[in-house]
Amino acid sequence: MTNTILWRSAAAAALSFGMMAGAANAAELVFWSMWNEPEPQAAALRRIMDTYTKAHPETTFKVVWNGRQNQTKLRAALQAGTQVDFADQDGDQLAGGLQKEGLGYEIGADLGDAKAALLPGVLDLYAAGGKVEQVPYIYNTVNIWYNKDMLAEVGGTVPQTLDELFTLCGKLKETSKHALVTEGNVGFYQVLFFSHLLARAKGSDAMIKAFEVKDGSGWSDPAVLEAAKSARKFWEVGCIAEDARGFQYPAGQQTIALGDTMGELVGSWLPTELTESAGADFPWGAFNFPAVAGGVGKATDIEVGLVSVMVLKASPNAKEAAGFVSYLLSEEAQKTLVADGGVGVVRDGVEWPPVLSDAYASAKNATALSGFGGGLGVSYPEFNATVLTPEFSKMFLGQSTPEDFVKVLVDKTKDYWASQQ
Amino acid sequence: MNKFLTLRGAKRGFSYLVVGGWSAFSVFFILWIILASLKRNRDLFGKPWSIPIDPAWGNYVKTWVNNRFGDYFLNSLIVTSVSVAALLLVSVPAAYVLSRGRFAGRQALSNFFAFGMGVPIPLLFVPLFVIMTTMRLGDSLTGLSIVYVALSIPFSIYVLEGFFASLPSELESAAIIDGCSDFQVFRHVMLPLAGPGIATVAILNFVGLWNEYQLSLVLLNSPENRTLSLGIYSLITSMQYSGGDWAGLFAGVTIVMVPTILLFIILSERMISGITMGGVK
Amino acid sequence: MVVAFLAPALILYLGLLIFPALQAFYLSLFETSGFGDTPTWVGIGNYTRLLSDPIFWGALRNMSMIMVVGGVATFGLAFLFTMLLNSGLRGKKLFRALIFLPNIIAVVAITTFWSFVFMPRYGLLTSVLKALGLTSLASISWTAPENVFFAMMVGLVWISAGFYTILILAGADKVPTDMYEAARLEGASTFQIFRLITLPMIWDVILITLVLWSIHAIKIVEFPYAFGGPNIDQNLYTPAIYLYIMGFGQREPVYALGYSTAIGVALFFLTLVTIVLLRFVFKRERVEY
Repeated sequence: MTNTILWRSAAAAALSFGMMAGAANAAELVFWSMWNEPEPQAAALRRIMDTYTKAHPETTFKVVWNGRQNQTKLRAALQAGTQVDFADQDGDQLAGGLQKEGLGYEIGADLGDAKAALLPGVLDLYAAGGKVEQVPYIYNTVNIWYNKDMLAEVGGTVPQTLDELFTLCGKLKETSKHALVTEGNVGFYQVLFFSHLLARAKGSDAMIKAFEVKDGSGWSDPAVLEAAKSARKFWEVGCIAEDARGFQYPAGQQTIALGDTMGELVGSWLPTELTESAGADFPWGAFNFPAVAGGVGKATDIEVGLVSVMVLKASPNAKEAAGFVSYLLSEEAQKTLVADGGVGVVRDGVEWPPVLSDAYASAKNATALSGFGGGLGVSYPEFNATVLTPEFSKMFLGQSTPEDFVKVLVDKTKDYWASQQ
Repeated sequence: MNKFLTLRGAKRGFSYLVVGGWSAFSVFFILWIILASLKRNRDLFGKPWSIPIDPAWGNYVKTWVNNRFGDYFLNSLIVTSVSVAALLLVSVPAAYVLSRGRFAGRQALSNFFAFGMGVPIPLLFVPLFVIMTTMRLGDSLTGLSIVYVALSIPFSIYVLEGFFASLPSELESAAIIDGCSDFQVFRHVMLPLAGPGIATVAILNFVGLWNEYQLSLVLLNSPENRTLSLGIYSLITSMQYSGGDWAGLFAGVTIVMVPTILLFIILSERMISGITMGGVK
Repeated sequence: MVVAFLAPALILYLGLLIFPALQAFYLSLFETSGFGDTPTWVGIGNYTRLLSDPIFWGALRNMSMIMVVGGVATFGLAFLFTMLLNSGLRGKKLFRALIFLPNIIAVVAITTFWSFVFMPRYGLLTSVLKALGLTSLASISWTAPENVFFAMMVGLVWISAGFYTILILAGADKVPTDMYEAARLEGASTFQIFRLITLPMIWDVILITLVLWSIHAIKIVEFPYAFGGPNIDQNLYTPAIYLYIMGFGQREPVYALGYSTAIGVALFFLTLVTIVLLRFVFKRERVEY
């Protein structure tokens, strides 16, 4: 045992002495991945690649399982001239990174009829000006993920409107439990309350539209203040427990597994993240953020977090890589992702794992898609990361008022556009 | 006399209480982590005080085998020991010359090395990656070790200089009068005297590099080259999307922790003997 | 001999620290994402932007708090432990090792542990307070935004106190033991011995440790960053964390590499100024014995 390890490490060390990645024959595709090797998603991808190589013996793969810092590592690699043919990452991150820099290969034409077979809106979400540079292959929806038994215990039904949701909160509070929870230190989860409320009132692109008014007045719309106030109301009426302000990820979501809380407004990765704590037979369900009275946005408009693959423009094997990406969207490959990776996928008609069935329904019936947090992070990551998310979090957790929040947005938006000139 | 004794006793008691209490908390911390590594996730969050009656040894199996901590362990051991050894080889002589040598620009050079401590490491990520790749040392443990040595030099020299400077100069003069060459003075007189200082620097660097992950995250790609702290890092990042195995994380942490504790116990013994040896002279 | 002894260290230092650092300094005069785009020359533009960036100033304030408040706590504890450990306690070796212990543990383990300590509802501290009947204290949310910085500092000081105890103790142990014995025979108290003998004798060590602490405080990333979780909030930002957020596409794809580099350069000069100041303020005759 020890000997094998010793030998393997020695061999690996010997190989790594001065040997660099690229420079292989033309048919070897170099894939840099956001997954870590032991993860089920990596296992699924590995199997898909093996199947592909069997069918196309001339194409083999060299995979570097970089983990979540993939794109940042890619940046350094590009500077050093390391050859990478394709890479994957959260779609939002790719959009603000490689794609924004114009480093993606325009893959639209290579996808052929695969396009028509995908769930609504998936391919268009990141296609700037109709150019498809990244191809989503894993699908996460944002919904309220909840414990079905707990809802049944208080005799509740899935709330269709915000008022119904608040009523449900009241019912749960009587049993000294809480309807929802959040992570006090995860601003981008908290922001979902704001982005959903605003989208329900003004439509799914409301966030971006408001920001793109260059004198900041987009935020002066009364609907923005209303959305901010409604977000505060989740605390005031006791939807969320007061002590959740101090929950540091993953303490908040663990209270769902422990039966203190019914659910959380979050991505469809929640059941997976809680499998170890909640057990495999936990009665998971999901419903969309409810409609707001008088709003133009529908409850079927959803926010999504897609994981995409991108072929790099600089790749000498772009065509071959694009061929594989097409295969990744095929029914066979997508089924492998579901079965081995335990994730939702983008192809219409490929059922997601049972625990995610409500998410699949919500993706299938989606009337509009936007990125996580209303898509502001896709188009304007810096503003989203440095202003909107932290300022909202401050307000949401009671350190400033909804009025202050709106004022800051107006001022900072104005500053932002002024500095862009 | 009696009164004096009780007062002393009370003071003693206070000393033991403070130092003992603080130390006890460290022990509690270690025990808690080890216990956490044997729990099931549900109990970990719901009952943080509970003791795992039915220990989940599977957490270790999973971490060691599936997450390849076995391989990472060896990588970490190699990189860290080689780096520390090379670092001492390079920085002890330099520190010695900088603190006791007599040549023009000594102070300036010493300051120049010290400035290196002020450079924030993230500044160097991209340039270092490019340099290492160009030198064909990218994604290799050799390359990582070289970078480790280079970036640890300022701190090590700075601390070692202090130790050399505080050594008595009579011994040095005596040795020179006895006809020792400069090198012999260093090798046979100053080096043994500086033993405790060198041990301190070795321990601090070993521990620092053992737990280092930012540079290795930038410079290493292949899973077979990963170190333990990168393994921990990937466990942490896997919590998003696929993980949620916090007990498994603690198993990983325990695997990383145990060797450093053992090493520390062994080496701190060394430090003590070094100090007593110095005291005899 | 001078050349032979210095050359290896100097070559590595120049090639892999100074040279890349200079490259980075140059980069801070550009606006670039670092993705191989053509950098745009902005001169000192990144620096003027820095001066009017409230997030940077907030981060600087946090940094100063760590340096001063955290420093006083850390050195206070380190002096206390040195004094007590040198007052003739039994088991000094063991205590010293245990006090240092947190320093050899991976930072993520420590921050995860402390987040369990401070966790509302189920946390270790909360349950202890509840068991003691201190319900009002038990209901405090230690990691809520207004408290989280200080919660972080507790963990940080816990680690640092051990680190600086070791360094100061190593210095104090070099003081000839007969000096202590003589003082003790003349009836000096533990505190007097520490103040009148240990402290002056190890003044150079103290200066070294102060410089180390300041540098550490200015560059600090790891502990607050890991404590902050996947989406660290601005209450915990230090300038070095801000550098990371702006330049390295953490959660959001923010890749302002030029700006981020400027933050790093500013930190570097801040370190220089601090070191020079410390050396000036604490200038004293070096004691030889």
